[in-house]
Amino acid sequence: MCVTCGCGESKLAPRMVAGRDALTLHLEEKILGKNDAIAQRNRDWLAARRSTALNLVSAPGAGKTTLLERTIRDLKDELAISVVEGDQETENDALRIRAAGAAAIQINTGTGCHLDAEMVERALHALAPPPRSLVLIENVGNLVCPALFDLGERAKVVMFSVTEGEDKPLKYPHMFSAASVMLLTKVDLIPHLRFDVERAVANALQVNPALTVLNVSAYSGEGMERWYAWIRSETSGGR
Amino acid sequence: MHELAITRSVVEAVAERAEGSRVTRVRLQIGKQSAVMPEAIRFCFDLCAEDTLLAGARLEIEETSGQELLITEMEIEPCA
Repeated sequence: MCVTCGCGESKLAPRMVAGRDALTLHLEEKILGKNDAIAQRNRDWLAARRSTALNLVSAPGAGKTTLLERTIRDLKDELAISVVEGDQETENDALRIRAAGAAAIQINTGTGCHLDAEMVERALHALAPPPRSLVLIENVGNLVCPALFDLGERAKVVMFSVTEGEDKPLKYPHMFSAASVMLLTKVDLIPHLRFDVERAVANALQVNPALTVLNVSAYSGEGMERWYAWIRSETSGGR
Repeated sequence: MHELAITRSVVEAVAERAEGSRVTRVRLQIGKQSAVMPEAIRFCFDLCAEDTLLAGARLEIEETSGQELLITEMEIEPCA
């Protein structure tokens, strides 16, 4: 039946209440249902290729691209890595990633403040990563909006640099709750800063007790082996 | 501001369900833990609804305590 007057077949016929001059449809539809469905399609597409995606999120300047460059250089002999770069403007990050030795596609979101599943779907098809790939998605630098949009990743990796405030996880709890791993970045700078690592980590765990916390420096290499071990554990599970 | 993208998703989902009928009212449930600001959705709604089946529709937002982000009701005009 058509939802308004019963004049034909309707594919969607939720509970209907007839009013005097209008009909009310009672629904329980997820607002982000369409994004979630495309994200699941991305996840299935990756799984069919025995590949895994990670969604890297942080505030601008936490060191996402630098961490990716080092990760690519260190792991390129053991893992096929492709990168989806999200920024409002410029191709700068994709150029840096290609120079580091990985395939990269740049998405410019324009006024948009986050990547969504549809953008990533287009990027995945354009990238066409080989089977058994690791796809690293560098989201737009933003600790708010990207928390809401599933892209089809296996996990969200939130990055938080020691040049930020220790209370960042408390200020942006949605992102820290949505992540599986937190990389505390730029730890080589700690001697020059008044940054309380213990307090920062405690704040993150207060928001998300299940968070795996790794201290890393993409410059000195400190802690990077633990990050690679985590990547290996995530990618081997899906193969 | 992700509310613009969220509002676009609402308009798209409701228009699809309306199957060609004009939509006069939409009711959403937005949880306080959802990271979505009802005020910003209201701000975006008329603009996103313009030139769609939702043009001129009334937007109601029920604020709840959890992570809800749902379209719970839509009112459509019956066939003439």
